[in-house]
Amino acid sequence: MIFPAIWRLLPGPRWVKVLLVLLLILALFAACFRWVYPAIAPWIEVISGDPLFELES
Amino acid sequence: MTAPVPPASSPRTRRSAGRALAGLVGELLMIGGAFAIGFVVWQMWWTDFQGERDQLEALADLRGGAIAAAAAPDAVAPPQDGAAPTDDFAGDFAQGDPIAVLHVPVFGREDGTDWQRGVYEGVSWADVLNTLGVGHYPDTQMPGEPGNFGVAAHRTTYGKPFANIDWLVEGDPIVVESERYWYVYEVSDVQILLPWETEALAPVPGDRTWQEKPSASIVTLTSCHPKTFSTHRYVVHGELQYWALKSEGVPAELAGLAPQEAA
Repeated sequence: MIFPAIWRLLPGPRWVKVLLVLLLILALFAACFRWVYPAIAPWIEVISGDPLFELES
Repeated sequence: MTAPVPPASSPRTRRSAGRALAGLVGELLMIGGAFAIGFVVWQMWWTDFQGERDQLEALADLRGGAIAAAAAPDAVAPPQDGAAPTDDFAGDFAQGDPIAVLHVPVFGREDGTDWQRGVYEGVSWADVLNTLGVGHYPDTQMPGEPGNFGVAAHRTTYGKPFANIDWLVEGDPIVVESERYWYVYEVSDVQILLPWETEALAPVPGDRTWQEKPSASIVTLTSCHPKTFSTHRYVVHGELQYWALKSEGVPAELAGLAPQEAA
């Protein structure tokens, strides 16, 4: 179980754990925005739509 | 002493192992869901924010270098006679090199600003459209030349320069600015085509052979259509009306417009 394991690994009293969990989530999303999503975007253009004509060259 | 451990095959252990597996799968699904929602938020909202900032910064760089703003912004530059000069586009352009500044007053009509973006060589997503703004199809001509100056930009996400391309109607001005000249075009027609109907970008638009000799100078703006799904391409053609000297001011079409907000 991932979530309970993380909860057990986090140190401190309950309010510290809650704070750390929030920080962890924030950090994960920041890393996704900065590196992961730009890297995978060329393969998943769900929303952008292609503005280009299909010219050969 | 330790509590008695039930034998491995007891129903209780098996049930809790199944429950643990279901719990793990549930957790992974939750993580995957959050990742997917995050991606949509990133592409819909963040790329727009970041793209617009990058593109306006690139334009500011252009203003400080290759294409400085007109020195006399309050004077109206009169139309010049004769063939449009093209000596500002001599030499080879590599991907990402600045070519011109595109002005579309209609895009700024809500607040009366002089909407503008830099136009750069190439139509690579990563190197031009996402970060610089408007890209020039390398197989098409340059502004003022007989033929077709074909450009593309995003209509959704990444700063969406051509978000309002559907506002343009026949007769609207499109102004292209080079280092020393103005090229004033007027929208002649609007088309919605399929992605492989590339004759929209031929020297004579609509000529499937690409061999006809052009007499007019055309500008072609392309973007996706419909927004987001992009099964088609939105195409706006404009025809050159006149050219003018930047040293004499700005064209009447841009006179009196407030400067676009800087980056």
